[in-house]
Amino acid sequence: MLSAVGLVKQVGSGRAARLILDGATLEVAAGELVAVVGRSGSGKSTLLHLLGGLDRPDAGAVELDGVRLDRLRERDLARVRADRVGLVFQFFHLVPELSGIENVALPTRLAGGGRRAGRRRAARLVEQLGLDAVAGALPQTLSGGEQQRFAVARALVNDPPLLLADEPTGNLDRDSGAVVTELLRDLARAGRAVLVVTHDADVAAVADRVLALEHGRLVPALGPEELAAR
Amino acid sequence: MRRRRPSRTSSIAGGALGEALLRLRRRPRRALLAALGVLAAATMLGAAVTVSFGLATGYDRAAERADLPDVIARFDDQPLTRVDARVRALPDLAAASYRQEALDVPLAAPGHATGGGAVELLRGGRRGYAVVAGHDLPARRPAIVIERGLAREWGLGVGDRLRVGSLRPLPIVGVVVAPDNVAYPLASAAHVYLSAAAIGASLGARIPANVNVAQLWLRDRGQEDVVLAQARATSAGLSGLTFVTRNGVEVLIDQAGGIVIALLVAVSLVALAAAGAMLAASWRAEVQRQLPSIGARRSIGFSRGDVTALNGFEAALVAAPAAAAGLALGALLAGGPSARLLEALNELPPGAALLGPLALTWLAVVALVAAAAAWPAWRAASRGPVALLRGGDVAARRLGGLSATRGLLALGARLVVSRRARFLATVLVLAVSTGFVLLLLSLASLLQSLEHDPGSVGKRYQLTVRLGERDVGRVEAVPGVASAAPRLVVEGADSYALGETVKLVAYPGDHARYEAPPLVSGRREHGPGEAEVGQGLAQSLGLSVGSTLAVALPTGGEARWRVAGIVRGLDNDGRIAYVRPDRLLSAGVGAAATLAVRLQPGADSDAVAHRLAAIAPNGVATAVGGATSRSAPFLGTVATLVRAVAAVDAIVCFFALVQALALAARERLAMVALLRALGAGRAAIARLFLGAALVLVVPAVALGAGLERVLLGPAVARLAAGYAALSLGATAAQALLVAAALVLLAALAAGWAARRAEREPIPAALREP
Repeated sequence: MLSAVGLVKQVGSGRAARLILDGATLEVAAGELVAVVGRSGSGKSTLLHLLGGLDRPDAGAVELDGVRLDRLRERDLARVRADRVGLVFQFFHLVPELSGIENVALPTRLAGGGRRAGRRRAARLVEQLGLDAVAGALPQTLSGGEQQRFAVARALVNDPPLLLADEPTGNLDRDSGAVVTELLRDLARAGRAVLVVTHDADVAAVADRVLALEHGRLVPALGPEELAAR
Repeated sequence: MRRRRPSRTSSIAGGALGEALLRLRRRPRRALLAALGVLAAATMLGAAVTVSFGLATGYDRAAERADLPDVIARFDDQPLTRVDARVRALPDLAAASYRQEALDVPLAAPGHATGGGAVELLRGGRRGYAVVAGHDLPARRPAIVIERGLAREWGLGVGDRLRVGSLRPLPIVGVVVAPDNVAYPLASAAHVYLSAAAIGASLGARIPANVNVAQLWLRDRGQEDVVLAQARATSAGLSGLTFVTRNGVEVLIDQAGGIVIALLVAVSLVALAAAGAMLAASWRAEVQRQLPSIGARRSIGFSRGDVTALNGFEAALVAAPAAAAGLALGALLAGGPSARLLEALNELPPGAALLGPLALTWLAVVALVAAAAAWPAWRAASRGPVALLRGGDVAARRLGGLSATRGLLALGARLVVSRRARFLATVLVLAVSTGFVLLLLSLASLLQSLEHDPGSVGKRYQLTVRLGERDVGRVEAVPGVASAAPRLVVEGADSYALGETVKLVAYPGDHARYEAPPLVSGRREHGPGEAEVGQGLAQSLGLSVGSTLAVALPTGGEARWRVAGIVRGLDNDGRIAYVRPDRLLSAGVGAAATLAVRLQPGADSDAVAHRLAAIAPNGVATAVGGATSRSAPFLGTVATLVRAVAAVDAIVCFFALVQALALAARERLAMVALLRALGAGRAAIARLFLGAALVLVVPAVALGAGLERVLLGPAVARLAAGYAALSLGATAAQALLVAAALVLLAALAAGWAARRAEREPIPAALREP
């Protein structure tokens, strides 16, 4: 499903230049939930951005379903993001003027397919995530957990095979975080490839594999049970 | 030795200046965008200042440089010695000079000829004109200097030759400007100047020592009334005596410039107001962009004053070069047409004198921009650092009718509308600009119609031919001619106020068949004892329906009519009266020597004129123009000027849109990045910004059209010609054209904003909320 080989990324220039990724390599299969952990500033989010086609590596390759993302033009990359990748962010990034359900439906305006079908999918997802009672509310009136669930619904509305989540529980209390973690686990079980960048041991605990980002490279981390035990 | 410590104020100022420079260097593109906004507004101001200053001061400047006399006395030919004796007896006289003026003298140069030359035979003394090329008349050698209007119209210059009457061709040694009249061909007579002594010596003939013009310079211009009263008292024996004062000439010139000068000054004032609003709005937008930066400074201990000073300095540093460039550009754009306009009025362009007002305007623009930047920064700095650090976070507001499910256009519209105050301010700026462009377009159309369309001033005849009443039958037999009638024109003066001139136009029958200016009140005249008077004349003489119009005629007689109606007439500034010829003929005025000719629908005017020339070789057939066909180049110049100002205004509109979108993009950096992360390409982001631009443009067009129709058009028309009702409303086609242009500008601005947004890295924008 998703593979990355030898990813290199440097940020800054001159004396401020810093090598964030230095040959990072990974694979995520359909139905698999992979967690990436690491210190703050170790490059977890940068890795996620490269995998999601939000940024381009200085070297290395990212391949999604056989398509080399690092070689695509910006227009084609946008199409891949619309159709094949779902993104969830730590800060939710819901559009403040749009209601919860409108936020969920927003990507359907960007991908192909009918408007009405998109609205139906959005409504179904909102219902599945238990958000129908607050579907018409503006983000500022929602709890963090509700906002993140709307964000997950938005990431899923175009039915992408790959879901990338950047610290999805980082801004949530323990209970809300548990709901979102369970949701991600369910999505992987349903056949999607899910990659989560996290500091949260509870999230890592439900992952099929946990990778640690150290010195710009991905290495297998402790097994889930050991991590949770810590 | 104790070193003096720098004061806190100077250290803050120095620090702020240095930091402002640093910030500008670090963000060159943002500085460039702000500079472009200032440049656009300054360009408009530069054009307005150039036109307004040139027109407002042109006469005084030309009069000073030409040493225009304080009083010009005209009279029938008199011996020089007799006139001089009386003039020398006048009080407070500083100097006097004399000349003999001969009108309708044939002038000819290769490829050009006119029978309307005004030859001024100078008798020495001060000239009353300014030499703008070559030099003045030599004392002995026969030579000629000509007025600038003639030189330009005929392409003559120093060294060329001009034939005057029956004299052999004379070398042109100078080109002069005499602001006692408008220039040829706006004035019917082309003025040329000769030295009586030199001509006499050259021809070996004795030039009669008669003069008919005396130019008087006073020691104290405030004593003008005393001198005139004395001159009138001692004028016995001088027939045909009239006086024109320097101030009086200015009034006459202003009348000749008529409608257009007042219109231009009016539109320049509107331009000034629009440009001011633009400047203030654009920098308020810039401070909005800087909110996070202000928040960061406040959070580390910067005072409100420090933040304000920094923004003021930064704004001034951006505004100073941009305003200078904009003012220079505006002056350059408007300078050419404005100079041609001044030339037509026999006035001089301001030249270096324009630098003063432009420098003041520059200072005002820089101060305004600095204040506009400092004030919102001062206000913004009063907010808590946390709120500021969130940048331009927009309080979410539910907005009916703009559902996001309708697409990115609607979402873009929501982004802009959610900032209500700024939305209204931007719409207002665009609306004023739109109304202004519509006003200028309708003005240009009106000027063109005045120039070419006789119907625009109520004339229903298309040709005139120099033939008498007895030739009516022959003319009407010419194919293409519908009818012809003798048209008698007499210049008279009001019997009670001899300074008030009246143009009498007489037709033997119903004049409305040939000239039908719209009635304001009363009815059409029905007989020899009735008159229809123009609104200008009615206003100046206090005439109303039922009152008596008494006119002193050139023959010395007087004729009276009862006012039957008041009409709207542009001709002769509305100082016109339509009458039957009976009473004029009874008072000794000669019969009409001109026929007004109406053509059949679809008849070719040139072909009919050609046929008329065949039956009347001496009766020149002339096509009828609009308000005054002689002033065609003048009106054409004004129309060009007006269009140039409209183009500058369009640029201002574009930058208002770009600024609004750039600000929305900056405030919604994270949202735009999110949309891109969700798969929005450049086209989708362009749709988003197009929605944002359209929601500004659509109400602005509607508001601007209404503004022009209800407020600007009528106000400017009234200001231009209180004596006539000008139709100064934009047509539906013009409104559609402006709307289409604005939509195009909106699309361009949206494309630009989308392209710019695409260059922002998505992860950086998404890093923080």
